[in-house]
Amino acid sequence: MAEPLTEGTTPVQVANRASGSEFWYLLRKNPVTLFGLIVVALLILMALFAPLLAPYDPYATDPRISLQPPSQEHLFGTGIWGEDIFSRILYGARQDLAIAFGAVAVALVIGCLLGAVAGYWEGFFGEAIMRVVELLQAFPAFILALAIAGALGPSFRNLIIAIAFTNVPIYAHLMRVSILSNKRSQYAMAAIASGNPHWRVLFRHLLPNSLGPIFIQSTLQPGYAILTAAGLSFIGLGVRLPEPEWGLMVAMGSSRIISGEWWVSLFPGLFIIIAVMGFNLIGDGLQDIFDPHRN
Amino acid sequence: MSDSVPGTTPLITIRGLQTHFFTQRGVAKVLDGLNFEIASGRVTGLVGESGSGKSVTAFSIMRLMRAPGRIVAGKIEFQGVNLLQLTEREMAKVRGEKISMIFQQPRASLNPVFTVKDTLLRVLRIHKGLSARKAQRAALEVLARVGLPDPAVVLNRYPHQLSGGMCQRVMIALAISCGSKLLLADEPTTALDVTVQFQIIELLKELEDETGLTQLLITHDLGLVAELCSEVAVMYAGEIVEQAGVHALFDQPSHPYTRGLLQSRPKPGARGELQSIPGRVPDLLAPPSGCRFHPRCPLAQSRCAEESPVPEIVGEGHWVRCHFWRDLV
Repeated sequence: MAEPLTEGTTPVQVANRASGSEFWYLLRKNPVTLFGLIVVALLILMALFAPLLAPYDPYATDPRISLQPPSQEHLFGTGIWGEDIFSRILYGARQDLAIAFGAVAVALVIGCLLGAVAGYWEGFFGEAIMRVVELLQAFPAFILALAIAGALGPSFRNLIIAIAFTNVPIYAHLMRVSILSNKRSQYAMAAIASGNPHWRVLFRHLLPNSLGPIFIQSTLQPGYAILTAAGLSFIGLGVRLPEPEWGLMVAMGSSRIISGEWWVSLFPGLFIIIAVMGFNLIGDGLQDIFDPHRN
Repeated sequence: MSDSVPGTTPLITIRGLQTHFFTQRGVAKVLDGLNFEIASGRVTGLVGESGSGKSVTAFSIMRLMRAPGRIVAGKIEFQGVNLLQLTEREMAKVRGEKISMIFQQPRASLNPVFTVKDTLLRVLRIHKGLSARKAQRAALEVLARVGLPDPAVVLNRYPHQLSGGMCQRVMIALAISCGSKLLLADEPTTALDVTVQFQIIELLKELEDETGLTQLLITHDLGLVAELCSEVAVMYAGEIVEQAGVHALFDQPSHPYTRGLLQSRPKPGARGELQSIPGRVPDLLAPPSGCRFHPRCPLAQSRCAEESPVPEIVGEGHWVRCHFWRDLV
């Protein structure tokens, strides 16, 4: 008797799992996502505790130890002016993550607002908004960021603005489509029918129900933002020296690869790859976890 | 007017209402000059097949029509005010406070991210301007009023934690919480199982008896009409073809469509195939000329295709829109 009973109890336990632990359960079944989460968590910790972890001042230069290969004193070697590359990478995580999260947050707020309004008030007003958004989309993202960063001038803040602009259309479109389908739902009708003003129906009823796709997109987007930030800094339109930023560091060492000093570019480049990959793994995994068609 | 109900004043008078759908294939004139009255203090049934314009009528009264549907012309008079002339802001004061609506899918009518409390208290605060504390007390009262066994518990539940019947009770609570004069019930029991249907009907009946709440019951269930309504309007292809007191309608159906509807009901003890009305609801992009029912009508003659029938009085408070209704009686 005992064995069939224990067999029978398993599904009950599964059904009783709270939604929070269900998330962890699914995560455990998706080791790739978990790996992505760990990578990003480590990067964030790295950025937060950079002053404690870094063995040297990231801005300090010493011409006597210029371009030394990786060693015990300088884990990732030194750069052209004798700066410690490991320390600069740690501090660089602060720059790159701040740019990535900042740009995505700005894009998310602006994009969602535009998309929500355009979705709710279809017709001329909504169409006008979407045409402007499509104008942004007509350019390849990097070219657009390049133009904006070029026009505003190279600085940390302008880099965030430039990257945010390229991300606005994605959020605007996602949000608009979500609102379009949700506003025809019966609860939206019922909300209007019980006298809620339209702004309230939109922002309190429809918006929270439309955040699912936005959430997943927001885990993918910082990866691309880091790539764009590094790219812009690489060509001199982003963060400027002496700030430690990964793309900029790759640029600094790019002319040295041919003369054999590979470590100057390689290590910051590796971290760009790791960060982008980490965010992408999270995004892909969450998509699977929240996909209603999964097994 | 020929269509007024004896001994009552109409709470809502609809005149010449045109609600059209602007589709890519053309304009569908779903309501094309609807005249209709809802008697005060009564439960009026609005019956007809799917696609006959029953829900469009209710949505038009509430001004909830969304693209591609739009109210083109007409007048909806409620307590001396033409609802179609109100601003959107004034209309928001009418919705939920003077006219409420409940829907077919009770669970889908409640926002999944809000608790009952969030939804109910918000409506009470919007319309009554109550403080949070007073609103909570009023909410508990109204939940008890609609027969929910444990109002304090239900209040903190999300829609997915409630059964369909409980959700519909919450919707009814929401509808009556601010003292609405008129309840538009759009197939309120269709999605519920039979025993729960019965309970909801009992509740709506109680509301009529005790508070004199005027109701428009939209349904295709004639049994429900017999149970609950005192007035019935039969709708076909966007037009009311017959209106009568519930007994008159069941005893003396005078429109061939009404008769067909009544005959297509299953009867207890009866054997054999159910009778049905031949054909299907017409395409409203190109409605039939003359009487919209004539292609399916057993009585149809050439006149029916040419001339749209006007309402003719059958008895007290009973009228019909048919050239040849006398042949049926």
